[in-house]
Amino acid sequence: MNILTGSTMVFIFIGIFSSFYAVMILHHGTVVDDIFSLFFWSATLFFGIQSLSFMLAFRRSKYKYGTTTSNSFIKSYREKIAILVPIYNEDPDMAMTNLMAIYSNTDSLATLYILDDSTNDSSVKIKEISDKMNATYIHRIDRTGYKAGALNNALKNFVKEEYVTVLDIDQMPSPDFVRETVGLLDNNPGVAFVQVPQYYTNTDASALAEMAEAQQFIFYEILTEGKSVLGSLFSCGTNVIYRKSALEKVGYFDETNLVEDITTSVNLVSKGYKGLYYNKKLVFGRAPTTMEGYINQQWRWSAGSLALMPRIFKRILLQRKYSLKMKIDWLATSTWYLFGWFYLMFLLAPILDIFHVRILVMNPYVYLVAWVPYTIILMFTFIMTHVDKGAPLKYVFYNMAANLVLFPLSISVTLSVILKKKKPFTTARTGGKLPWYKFLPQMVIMAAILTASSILTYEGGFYNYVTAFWGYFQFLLLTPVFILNRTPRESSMDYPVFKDY
Amino acid sequence: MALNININQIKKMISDKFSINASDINKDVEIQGNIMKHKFDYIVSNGEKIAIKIVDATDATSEIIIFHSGLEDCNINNSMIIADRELNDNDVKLLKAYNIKVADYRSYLNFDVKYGFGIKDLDMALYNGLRPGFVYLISGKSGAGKTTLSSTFLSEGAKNGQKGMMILTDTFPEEYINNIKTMDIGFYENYKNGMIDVIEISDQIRSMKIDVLNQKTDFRKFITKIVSELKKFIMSKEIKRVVIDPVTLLLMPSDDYINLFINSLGMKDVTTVITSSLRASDFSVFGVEENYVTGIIKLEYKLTDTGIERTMRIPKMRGSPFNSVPMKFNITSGGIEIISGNLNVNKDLSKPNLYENNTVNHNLVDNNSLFKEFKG
Repeated sequence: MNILTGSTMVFIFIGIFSSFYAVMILHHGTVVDDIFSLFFWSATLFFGIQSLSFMLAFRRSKYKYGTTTSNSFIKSYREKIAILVPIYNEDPDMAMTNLMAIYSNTDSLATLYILDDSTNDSSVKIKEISDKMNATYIHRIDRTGYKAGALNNALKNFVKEEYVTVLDIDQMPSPDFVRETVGLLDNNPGVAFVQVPQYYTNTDASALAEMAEAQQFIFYEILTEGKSVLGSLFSCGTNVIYRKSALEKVGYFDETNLVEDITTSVNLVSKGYKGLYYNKKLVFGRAPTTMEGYINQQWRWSAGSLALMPRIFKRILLQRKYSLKMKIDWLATSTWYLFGWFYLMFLLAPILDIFHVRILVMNPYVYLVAWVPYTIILMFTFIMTHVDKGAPLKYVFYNMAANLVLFPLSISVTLSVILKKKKPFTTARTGGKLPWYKFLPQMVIMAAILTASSILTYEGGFYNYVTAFWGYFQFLLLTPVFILNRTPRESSMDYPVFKDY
Repeated sequence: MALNININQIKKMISDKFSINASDINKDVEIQGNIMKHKFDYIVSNGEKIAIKIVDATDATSEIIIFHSGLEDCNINNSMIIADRELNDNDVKLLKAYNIKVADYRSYLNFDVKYGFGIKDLDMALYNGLRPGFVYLISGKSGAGKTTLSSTFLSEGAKNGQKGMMILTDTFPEEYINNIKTMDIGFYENYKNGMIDVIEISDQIRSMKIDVLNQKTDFRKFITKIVSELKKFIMSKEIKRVVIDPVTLLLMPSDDYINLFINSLGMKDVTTVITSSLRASDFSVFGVEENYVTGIIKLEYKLTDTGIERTMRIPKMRGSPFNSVPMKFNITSGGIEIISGNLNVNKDLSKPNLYENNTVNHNLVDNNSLFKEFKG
């Protein structure tokens, strides 16, 4: 399969070359055509790199990952582990339930630290329960450095333990989480952290939660396994256990970025550490169930990752000491959240086509040779990798749809990062249904695509048919926008187990 | 207070030093003296007050002097300090002069707190009862007395101020309470006054279990969910004794599952008792439950011409001495009454049978040999 992926790169370069040739030598078309062609082929190149990196990750995950985590023999763990739970203005009931789960499933092995940055009255209840649990309760009045700041404050002033677990308040560890992960740190001194998957259990709450889990699936079943083998794994902020001495070496958590987890991982990688991914469902979390919460989460991830791009370029991509495969992986990781621009490109293609703005090539046959096999191979491998990892086909659809639906977010995030606009910090557990006008870009595009594709079908011609087919396909992928923005149901995860008589 | 002292250790110290059976012990008590308010680490208020100070500074002298001035000001005559090291000569003299007793924490480190059943012979065979923090199994065929024995365990706790919780998995609470009401073991009274909670499992948990069995979802999720909620109940209601009767409906036929589930039930200061009927082995339904619990009480019966002959024995009790000689018992309106076994138990107490591993001697429960032994 990686041969297939490699060959897609060849096809892309044929296409780029032919466009270039058409523009420079043959002087076909107008300036608009030129820009469009450039844009189109950069989009293709972007997705080419993404898929190449994805396929390499898949290959590593399939053939090499299995041997890396087999030595989870436990030497010792008592009095070595601190559990840090950062909290910020949460619903006290949810916080209590999950704190109880964290406490009861880790208590015999670890010391619990509750880092409460809340500015509302939820603190009173959390302090109360924290006392009952005999946990160390740390309340900051100023929120310097947000989550990273809270973690650092605890690490610098309170935590004495050798290993530090970070669990977000919406996560419930299983009773064997600590036992299973600590052995890996004990046995691998070069490993700075062990990450376990984030697994959403409330997927029955809404289609959105299910889609979020599908996105987690691709990340935690394929990408992270590959990254773990390669040594380019980054921690994901929760469900992770760090070696404190490694964190010390990089000045603890990086407070300069919204995604303190990835940033800190980049710092660790530059110091020669690596992370290990342990793919076992040991922590059960909650997906954002409302559109607003989901958008908040995606916004934070995109903005943080994009702001981190220059550092990844400086620290890794432009450094000689890293191998090519490492650089491909980090390149794909760091540029990923630009995806909106390139999806926009593909979305615009059928629409521009009716205005006869087309990709410049030497002739249509070269275009077909370059582009059609590439697309087919990409789709095929994408589906195959999912099937191979046991994902339901629904997940394939969700994963294709999710990013297309989110394209305006990616674009607006890019602009705010460039313009250095700040947005107040929000968690994924806030908010509700969003007003429909927020989805205007998606709906306008859908209408335009449908119209354009219909016109192209009517006009006929091979080139038009291909473009129209592409248009219909994208229209289909955008349709979930109507089912995602709904009020969630109660998840079976929240049903009571016991009834008090 | 740096020392991790529990109430039971303090009770033991008080009974050693003052020969009082203390039950009213309060932590961090402030008392208004003639001159000012004083804070004491513990105050025992059975009869004449006893003030307790835990010494943790390296220089104990100033702590002792301050403690003493507090005692004087509040007119407290009986007092004790707890230290975890040898005090120097001056301090010892000072304490003598002030008439403050000293308890050495180190001698109480291994003091075993145990939760008894309130059934004399059984508690003797268990060397006072079951240890908190661990999970025990009461096993026996249907009608052997599992529910009665485990309910007795809860009422005994309630009588001693320990809250209990009965989790019913296969009967309706109404039905259970109506049955247990007929028995004079103090259960119903304690249920009424809130010392014992009776809860049942929800229908949703049954459907979730089906999902796990059909491999639609990970079994860890199921365990995490059940155990977290259970512990939330235990913690918010400050429950010390828990019974799951029977545990079978919360289990699944997988060794890994049962291992993780049972290991996860243990909770600090709480004794958990699970009950199980028999199917795959002499102790349980799935045949592995007994491997993961700390101890087992096995209940048996035999129908005879004259009625029913019931026996109880302890084949396994990790980390604690116990007596495995079978005891005959009856279930009457007064609960469980042991009718034989006294003699044997007393005789055997002098040489405790300390099992350190979890091997279960299956010969012990061979019905034939058991009754032969009795008759002979």
